[in-house]
Amino acid sequence: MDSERDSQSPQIVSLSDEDLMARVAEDDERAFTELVGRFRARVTNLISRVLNDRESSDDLAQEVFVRVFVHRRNYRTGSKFSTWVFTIAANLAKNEIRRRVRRRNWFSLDALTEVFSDSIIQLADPTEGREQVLEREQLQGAVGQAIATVPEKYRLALVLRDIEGLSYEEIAEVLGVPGGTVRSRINRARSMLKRKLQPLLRKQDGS
Amino acid sequence: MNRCHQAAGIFGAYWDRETTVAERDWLEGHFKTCPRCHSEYEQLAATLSAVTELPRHEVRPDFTQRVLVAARAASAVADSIRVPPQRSVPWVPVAATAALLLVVGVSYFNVLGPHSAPGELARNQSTSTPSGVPSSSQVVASVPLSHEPVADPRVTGVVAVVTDSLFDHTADVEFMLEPVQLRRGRAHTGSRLPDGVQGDQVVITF
Repeated sequence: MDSERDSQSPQIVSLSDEDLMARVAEDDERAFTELVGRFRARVTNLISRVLNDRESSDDLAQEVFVRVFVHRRNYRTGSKFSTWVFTIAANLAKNEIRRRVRRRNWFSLDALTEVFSDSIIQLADPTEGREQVLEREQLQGAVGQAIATVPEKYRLALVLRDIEGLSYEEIAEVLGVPGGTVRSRINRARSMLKRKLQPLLRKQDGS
Repeated sequence: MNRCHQAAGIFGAYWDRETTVAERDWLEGHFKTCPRCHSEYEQLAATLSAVTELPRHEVRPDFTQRVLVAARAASAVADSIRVPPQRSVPWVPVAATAALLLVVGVSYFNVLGPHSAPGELARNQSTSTPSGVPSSSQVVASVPLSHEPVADPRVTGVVAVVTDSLFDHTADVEFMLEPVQLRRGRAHTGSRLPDGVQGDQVVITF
């Protein structure tokens, strides 16, 4: 069994996302594991940035992949897998935002602080001084908070473009809106973000 | 001012490197003459740099394993056919229904009397039409269970409608016959064979 796995592993790794998904549709769990490995970081990051909540983003990202597996036979052969998985993730994130708005407990400052302190500890440059670390921490916290306050439809487009690096065409497909609408939403989101962060960025430039 | 408005309109495309060469050259030329636009763009670029440089969150090491377990469980639920739980048969309604049926059966037997035969009841009922019966235009003679001759109003130009007495009608049987016309004591049906095709004709003699 192990030797069989070893002999097939290089083959699985070299397959495209779409070919892997075709195998998943035929109940190939190893292909599914490979797909999860390829997309887990991007899906978790997308949800985390949209919700600004690390803990929930893990659970929701897990739900994204569960849905991929459950609906594996609904995947349209020929369509791009990344677009499909980001569509599921975006829809789940939107639903979660709306659920939180309904419950009126949207945006926990404690969770935000925890998220950014985790990230900063992971990426801290040992050569940086304490003051620089604090400055960067402050900036990243402010950016995350500013993104979280952008209205949902603009925020999703912004995160997909400027954090996940999707093309405008891919975003249009994920969000189910025309390309012109995507451009307009991204421009508006960027302007909002610039206005929110301007004082902090000026202060940083001054120092 | 109009040029500044135009310039601001392509800031996003310039950041995304999606402008044409002509647009890029024009915007960069404008920046040299308009420090305000240049400053605006620098602020946007600083904002977007801060966004793109946000650290990516690490995924838990057991993430894939947890997904697999959850996916298997969810898939098993989705694939299974839900069977409603079996209920034990309540004996009180069953006994009550049985008693009611017994009473109805006894009453029915008393009304009809001991000499009534099942065939008599059947004669008083109209025959049911089985599925797949031809249309009314095709049905010409339907032999009733009673022995009295019946003239079917749907049959036009027919000399007489012949009832069939060769069979036992005590059973609930219905016969669907083709049009039968009498000519000097002989009956014959019209051929349904296409034109030009020869074949034997059915002739019924009474």
